[in-house]
Amino acid sequence: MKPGPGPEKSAVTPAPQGAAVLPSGRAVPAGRAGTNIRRLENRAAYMFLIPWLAGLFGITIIPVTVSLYLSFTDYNVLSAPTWVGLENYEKLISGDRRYENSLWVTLKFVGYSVPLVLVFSLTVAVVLNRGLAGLAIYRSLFYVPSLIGASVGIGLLWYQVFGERGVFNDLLGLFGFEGRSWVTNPRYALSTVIALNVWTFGASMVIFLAALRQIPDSYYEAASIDGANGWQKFRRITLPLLTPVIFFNMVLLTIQSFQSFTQAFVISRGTGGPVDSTLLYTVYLYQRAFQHLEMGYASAMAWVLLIAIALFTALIFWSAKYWVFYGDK
Amino acid sequence: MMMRKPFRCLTALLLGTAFVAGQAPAPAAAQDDPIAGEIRFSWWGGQSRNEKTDRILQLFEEEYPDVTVVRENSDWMPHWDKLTIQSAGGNQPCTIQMQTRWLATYAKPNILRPLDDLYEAGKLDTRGIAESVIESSRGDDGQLYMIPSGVFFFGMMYNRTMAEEAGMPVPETWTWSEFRDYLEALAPKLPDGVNPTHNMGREANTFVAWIQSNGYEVFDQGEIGFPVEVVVDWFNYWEDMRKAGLTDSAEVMVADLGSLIEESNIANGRTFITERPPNRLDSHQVVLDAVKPGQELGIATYPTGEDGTTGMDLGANGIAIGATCPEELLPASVAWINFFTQDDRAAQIYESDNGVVAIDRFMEAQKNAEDTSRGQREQIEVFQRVVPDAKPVSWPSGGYAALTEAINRGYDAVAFELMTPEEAAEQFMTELADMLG
Amino acid sequence: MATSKTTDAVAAPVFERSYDTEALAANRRRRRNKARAKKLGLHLILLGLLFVMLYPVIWMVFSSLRPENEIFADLGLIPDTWTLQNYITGWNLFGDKTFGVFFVNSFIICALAIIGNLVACSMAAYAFARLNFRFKWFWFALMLGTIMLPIHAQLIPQYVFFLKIGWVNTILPLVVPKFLATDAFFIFLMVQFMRSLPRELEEAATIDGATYWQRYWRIILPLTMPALATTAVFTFINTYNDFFGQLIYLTEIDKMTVPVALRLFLDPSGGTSSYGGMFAMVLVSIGPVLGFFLASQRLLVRGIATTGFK
Repeated sequence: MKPGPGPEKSAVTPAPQGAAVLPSGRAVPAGRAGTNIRRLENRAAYMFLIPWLAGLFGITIIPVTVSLYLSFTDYNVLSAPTWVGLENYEKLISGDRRYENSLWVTLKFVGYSVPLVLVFSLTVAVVLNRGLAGLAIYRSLFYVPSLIGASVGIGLLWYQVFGERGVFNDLLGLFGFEGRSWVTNPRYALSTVIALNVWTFGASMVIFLAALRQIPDSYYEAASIDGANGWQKFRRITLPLLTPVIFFNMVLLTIQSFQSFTQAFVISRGTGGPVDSTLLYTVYLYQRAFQHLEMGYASAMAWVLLIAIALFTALIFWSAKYWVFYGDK
Repeated sequence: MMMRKPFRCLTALLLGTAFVAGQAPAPAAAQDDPIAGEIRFSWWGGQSRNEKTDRILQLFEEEYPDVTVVRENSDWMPHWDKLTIQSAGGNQPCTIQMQTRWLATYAKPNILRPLDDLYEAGKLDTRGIAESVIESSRGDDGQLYMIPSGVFFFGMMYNRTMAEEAGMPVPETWTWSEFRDYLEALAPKLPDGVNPTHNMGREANTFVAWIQSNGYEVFDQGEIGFPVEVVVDWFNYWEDMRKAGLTDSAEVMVADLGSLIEESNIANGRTFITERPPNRLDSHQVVLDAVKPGQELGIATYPTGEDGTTGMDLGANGIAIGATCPEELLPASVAWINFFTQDDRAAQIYESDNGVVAIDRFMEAQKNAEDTSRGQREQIEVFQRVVPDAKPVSWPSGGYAALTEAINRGYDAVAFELMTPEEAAEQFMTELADMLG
Repeated sequence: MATSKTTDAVAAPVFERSYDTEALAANRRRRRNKARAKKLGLHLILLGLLFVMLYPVIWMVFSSLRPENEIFADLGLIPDTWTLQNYITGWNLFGDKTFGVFFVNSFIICALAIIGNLVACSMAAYAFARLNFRFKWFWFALMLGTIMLPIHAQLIPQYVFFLKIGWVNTILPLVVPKFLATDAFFIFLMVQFMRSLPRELEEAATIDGATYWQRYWRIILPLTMPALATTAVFTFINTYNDFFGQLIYLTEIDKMTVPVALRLFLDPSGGTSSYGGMFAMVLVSIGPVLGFFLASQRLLVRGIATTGFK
């Protein structure tokens, strides 16, 4: 589809064109200068990538390679690593009950968090984008939880909400239910961590809002002429045009949720408890690395996580060709 | 390991000056090298301790104008995380706050500098610090790795007003079964909504007291020193009380663990008794004064075995020197350690903030001083009473963290009725053994 | 604004064909009232949602304004006694060093990090989004891969590396990587935005003989403003809240930053804590972030709809 300047009827129903998943460059005009331009473009691209490549090789690759090496060693941080081959990985596959448990906890966490955050942030963003008065203030206020979500006071605040004497129980009391300490019960503790994660939906919301602003008004005007109602406009214009950003948020949220650490760590006071009910992958990794000083084992965990995340991401990328539409095709 | 034993007779050594025999008579700090340069000091603590430490550092810098001390402070967990990362890169500070419970993890010549030479040469001033406390500051290899500055112990804190109103004063000592009987008798006389006791089934410190009062060692040569039955009995002891309604619920038990003073049930008058470090009596009392004016907290000792055996652990905080501290900064580092532990003003400012001051004359002075708070005085009194029988644990590398983790998880599973005491005890033993590697 | 415009647009074609102006006006009035009621309802729902979401924050605000020892005393939300004492003690955390020092330290790092991320990430993103080059797939996958490795496994090798090149206890380990686009997250974000821009824009410029740099700088960047503003906001927040990095790289008090300093109010090792002071300073420290966010609103809002297209 071509978001051109004028209203275009075809814009209302963008045809799925099997948009490429990876960024594909512009088509090179055929003709005499074709190869020349291609060479020029190639060089230009690498010039633009210089800082990133420098960072990749100068900073990122080193610790990453070292951690790969460490994953094959026994390394307690305080003395030199010793090579143990695949032992760490073998132990991960069989014989670490807590690890197995942390996998389930993490999958549950990701499985609930990602859709909830997506739906919640998209809904609020669309509502806010309807030209309500006080948009700027709303947007900022909705973002406040994200601002303090990572700060030190958050654990305390969450006890004020979901603790034994928390507000949530006061609320339940109004309806005649008996309260409990949600944060410290193994059956509900993970839910409160997920709630905290959803609470900080501001980042996704901001990205959605930015993307919504990029949809030209002309599209909606054209749709209105066609007699489309609000829901139809959302269904036919907003949603399809937002798919690249929904896709982006989904990838990012998935990666971030798999790596989520602070919230569970703070709420469980570093333990992942009670009874390992909030033992997210990275919390367990942190415990192994810094509380037990098993850096080799922790590095192996990190690499398994990397592979797991890569698989999930690849799955989302693969699925994208069925539902993501880009403007550059 | 064997070097730890002398700590056992901490007894009289801490009590009477007559017994106290520091290694060397008042040595002047190292004379060969100039006391100069910029050293780093890292410690853990909250705001009040930071202020005190800063004031002492200022005094020190006035006294030694050629020395500047870079302050590196953080709260408890980051202190150790940071030290680990710094050690991995060989960038430890010259002076580092240390604790006997964690010493074994870091007591390696490439992390901390063995202090024996400085100690034997009399450069480190250890006047008045009991030999046994010094001995407890040695690593597995027998070398000295820290100079102790404060001795701490765990005990229980209770609401004295409630006990008095019920006409049941807390005895100076009690056995585990007497403790239970006491609570059972007290329960009906407590105000509404007050738990007789916090469920200490998951608390490592109390569990240590249980193990040792049953005649076992917690660790023996770095291995678990007690059989699984001790754990099963422990779980059953608390399960029995929990089911009898004498403890808080499992949820509240978890919430109360490690909670900060202001949120804790004991400081808010919602629990009659719980385990707490006695040196925090004053800060708990402040909170209680605001919530339930007129109520008073007191310190009680852990129950003993049925034969009267005490099981209480004892530990020390101190200062260590980083292995990578350059030779020319040693005099300044030594001078700072000496100043922190030996200077009258320093001891006065610090007020045993991190364990009862290790030096006897300061302890006596603090106990008798006009402006010493009630909590402070009570702490020192109980300390002097219980120390003779205390049994310091020889914590192996990572041992304290491992025990805490395993007992938390083990008992939580029991209290939330996810496992039977037997299953949980088995799991506890396996996990603990695993973690000890 | 936008909604009312569209409502009229919907109505217009219908009215033109209508003859009954009387009924028309009534109809319009009814619609307008309906729209107004709908908006009011929307406001109410949003406000309700906000109250629920912000309750913990509201609790914190009131707690910071009551005497320290009453904070956890179950005394209800609104304090009986109001005091600013917490702000005073919090601000003067360490005798001669006020919290202002930590703010300045934090802001310097944040400002540099933002500049670094904006420049380096947008350059890389332009290449990935708009240009064709060899091994693009490979580099793109690698770029995504760098987002996926959890930091805790890299922490120690990274620390040792920065120590070896003498950067520990300076702000360099926290700032230089941003100029080298190591926050691949933002590259990805900008790629997604740049890709949705129509290709004709650049093609027109190519015909005019614009270089790649001019196309990037004059055409693509201005149109990516919302993404750039988003990047700036997120960089600010991430950097401002980054506890672990700042803890290990900036160890002395003089260089300490806000998140590290905030931890010093609490003492979980059993000492005394200062909740009031902490809450007060958490709130004070949100101030700048919120201010920054409000200030960048204008940029966030200025999307394609308002910039170049029409």
